[in-house]
Amino acid sequence: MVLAESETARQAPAQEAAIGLSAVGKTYGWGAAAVRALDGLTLSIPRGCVYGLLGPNGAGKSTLLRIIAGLVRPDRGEVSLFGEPAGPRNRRRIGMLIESPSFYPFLTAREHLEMFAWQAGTPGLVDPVLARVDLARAADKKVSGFSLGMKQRLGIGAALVGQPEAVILDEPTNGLDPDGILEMRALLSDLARREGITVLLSSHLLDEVERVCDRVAILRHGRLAAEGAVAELLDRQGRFWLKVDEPDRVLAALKGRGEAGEGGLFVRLEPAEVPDLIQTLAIAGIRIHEAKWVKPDLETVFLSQTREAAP
Amino acid sequence: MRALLCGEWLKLLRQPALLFWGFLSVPILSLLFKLLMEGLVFVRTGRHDDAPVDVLLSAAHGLGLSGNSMGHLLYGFGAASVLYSEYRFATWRLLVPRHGRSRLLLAKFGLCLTALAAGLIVAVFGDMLLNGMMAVLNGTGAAGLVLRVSSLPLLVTAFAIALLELGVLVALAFLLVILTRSLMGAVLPVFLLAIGSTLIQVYLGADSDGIALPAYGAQALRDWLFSVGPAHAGLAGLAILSGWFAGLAALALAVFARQQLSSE
Repeated sequence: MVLAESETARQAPAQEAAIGLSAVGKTYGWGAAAVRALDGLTLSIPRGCVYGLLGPNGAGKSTLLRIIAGLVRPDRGEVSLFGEPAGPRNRRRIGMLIESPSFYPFLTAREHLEMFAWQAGTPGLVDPVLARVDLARAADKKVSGFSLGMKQRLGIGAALVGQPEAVILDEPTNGLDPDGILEMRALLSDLARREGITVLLSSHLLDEVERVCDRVAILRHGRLAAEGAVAELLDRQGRFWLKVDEPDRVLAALKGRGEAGEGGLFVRLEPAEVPDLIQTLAIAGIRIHEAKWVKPDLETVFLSQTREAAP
Repeated sequence: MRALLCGEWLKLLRQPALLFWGFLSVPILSLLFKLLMEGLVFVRTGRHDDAPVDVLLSAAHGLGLSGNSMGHLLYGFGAASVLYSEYRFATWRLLVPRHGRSRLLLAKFGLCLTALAAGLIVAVFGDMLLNGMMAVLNGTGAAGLVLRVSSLPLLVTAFAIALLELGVLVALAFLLVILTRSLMGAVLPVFLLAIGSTLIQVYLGADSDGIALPAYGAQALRDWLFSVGPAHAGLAGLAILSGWFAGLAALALAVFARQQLSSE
């Protein structure tokens, strides 16, 4: 099945953000017990991309998603959807699976999707969506008998059945078996690549985010710790590995830009500086046994951004 | 809004216990009670009242069940459950992004009022059926029944009064569920208000008419309708009921519009 690609989404200027947040702040509680969940967060999620939202527990991810969904009001700042201030009218253009999937235990999967499809005016999509999330055989069973993975699939189905222009999925692979995770990954890629749907994905599975997402934002203490294209973020944290005869001498010459590693040293430098470094070492008579770029995975980037001292 | 209301009806129809105990049990139980009483009289005396029964007027009187204190407990349970289920199952997150809060609350309000209206219709037709049965048992047949067209406006007005009184109850139950996020937190105060109103009336008698409680307002309206009370008291009753209804509904909407749904 292919959900029809939204005309609006295709014709919109590429620069226009599907979801935009400007200086959004939210504090829960009062006085000494107050907890600042979001602290002036500004974020722009471009149309048609798969955007990953990362952060440790308490970083503000859930609050951010709840604010976008209209479940929680921000204390300050603006939220915009498709270039307009967020409201019930443009929230209908977004499919959402917020936190753990919650459904009415006395309704079947089909009844849930039918209910949302009537309301969205897309009753013809119920069966295709059930098939797409692999619930066709369980469609007429009550949700009270569903496993977490089945509820998760239904949650994604509920997000898709309204033919959204963007979907927000919070931990969509929670409770899925390995096959289900692979299917989900393919589904997410399909949504963005083939149907032009913007996907905002919050997940703790960094490997999954690295594989699926075009861009990521890392939150820490309600602020943006890092943001950018995945490849760009990995490049930014890339280090140059050198295995040389006299590492101490080289370290001293690098004046703080290098750090000792096991059997060699890591150097922080721009790619354009590499030829000069090699040449300098050769002129100084230092023998080079190994020289290569070492790119971190997203987990390393995540940990480096989230383990820094609290502000 | 129609699709939203259909969705709300689907949820209610899939909870038959809630539909019965919350919206249909009061008219059905009151009909059974009436049947029992009439049956006892019939068994004891061997005959029913000789005077022909005006079926529309009888049904209009029967709609006074909306003021029953025990009925308020069950109606309060029904109305509160409709809203509370979204907190209980954490399903606001499915609905709020799709519809906006005021539309959702209005749809749930519409559901409760239509379900209550259906219950009142059951009461009306049940009363007619009961009178028909008693006429047959009494041996008078159709001659024991009178269908006066002039009683139709009375029936319609009694229906509207009953629905307005129950509308106040629904608005109160909704406001309490929103404030307490609890079923008991709504049902118990609604029941206590109904019981309290009755007790105050028992102790104070006519002096209680000066207290602007919904139950007294509805009773004043019914008294005026059935020509046992003055028109000015009826008007005051209408004002009291409408005021409570508008105030509670507006407050429920305002509180819900600003409520943080951070854990549901």
